Amino acid sequence: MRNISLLCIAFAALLAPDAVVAGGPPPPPQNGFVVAKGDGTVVRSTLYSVFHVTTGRYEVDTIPDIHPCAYSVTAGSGDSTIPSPAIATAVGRTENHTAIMVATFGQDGSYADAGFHLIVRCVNAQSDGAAVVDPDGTLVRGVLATSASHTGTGTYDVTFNNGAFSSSCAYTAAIGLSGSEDVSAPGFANVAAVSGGTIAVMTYDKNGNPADLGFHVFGACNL
Amino acid sequence: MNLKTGSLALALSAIALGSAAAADPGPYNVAAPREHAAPPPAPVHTSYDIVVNKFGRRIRGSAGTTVTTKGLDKGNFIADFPVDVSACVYVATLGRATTDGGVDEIPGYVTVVGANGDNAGVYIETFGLGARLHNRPFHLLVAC
Repeated sequence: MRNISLLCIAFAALLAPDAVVAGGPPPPPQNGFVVAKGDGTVVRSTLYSVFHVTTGRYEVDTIPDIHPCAYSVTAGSGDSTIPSPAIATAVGRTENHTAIMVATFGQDGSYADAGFHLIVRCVNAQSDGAAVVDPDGTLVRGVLATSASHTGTGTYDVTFNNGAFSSSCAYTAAIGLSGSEDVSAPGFANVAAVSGGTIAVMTYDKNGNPADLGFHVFGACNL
Repeated sequence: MNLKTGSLALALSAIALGSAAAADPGPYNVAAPREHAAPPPAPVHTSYDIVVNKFGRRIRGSAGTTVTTKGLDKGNFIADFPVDVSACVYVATLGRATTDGGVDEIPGYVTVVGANGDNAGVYIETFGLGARLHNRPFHLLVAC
């Protein structure tokens, strides 16, 4: 009987390090993502929560330590609503290694509420979808991307072979070129879902006007 | 060692492990790891990342990544990766590159393009809202 008791204690103790994590350091860094509305409501995520701190400022909280990670954030909606043009930035929250502060801005540079897609990469992993699209809508290259089209001035659709890409993933985009012999005009991109595997990317010039600009878009659907 | 003694040793070891974890919460707010391991050789659909401060210093990122501003104009950076990234996708975001967090990065623009003559490089330009080149910190993801 005593042996059985000791074994039980040993088993419980072996589990103890996990149990004390709540009062100790957070778990190791882990990839993740979150898509949130302008009011901070989470549309989808990998166990992230979002707190709308004040106009244009959001605290994204998770369980692992995410300060050793890289953050990619783009203003946009998690559904087919086309958002107002907005710019987003991200930084780890001071003294809190399990939080990221996301800030969203209107074109005048002042804080303004906006939905966003945030992808956190802490360890190298397979991509769930990515594409490089020229200003005319040509899909130049990508990862699991099947097509792209130019649907209007500064608006594009990009389709991935994951039929749930638009509704189950986070996607971020940056203005850029497909080649390597030039530099791009400054601007910014926003994103939105369309349906199925198709998402929309909107590109704007430095004045916030829709403009045909090449872009790179990256999607995360899993850790 | 009989079963009884072995069980006791196991129990004490395990309890010691638990106690150590409970007594020392660990380095919660010390400098975070600045590098993570490279992916397995020859994978498909792999992503890399690098985080760079406004002075062009690599703060953290995938193993084998580097950045330079040498010989470049203000707001220009070249990030290099351990593989050919000329056929990859690059996504950059303006954001502070501190280890322990910081204040919001002010808005601006960032653009990406393959580095001319450097298949392992990405050329990044960072701008203020006035569309003038400024040195700004950024996070860059690369998917291949």
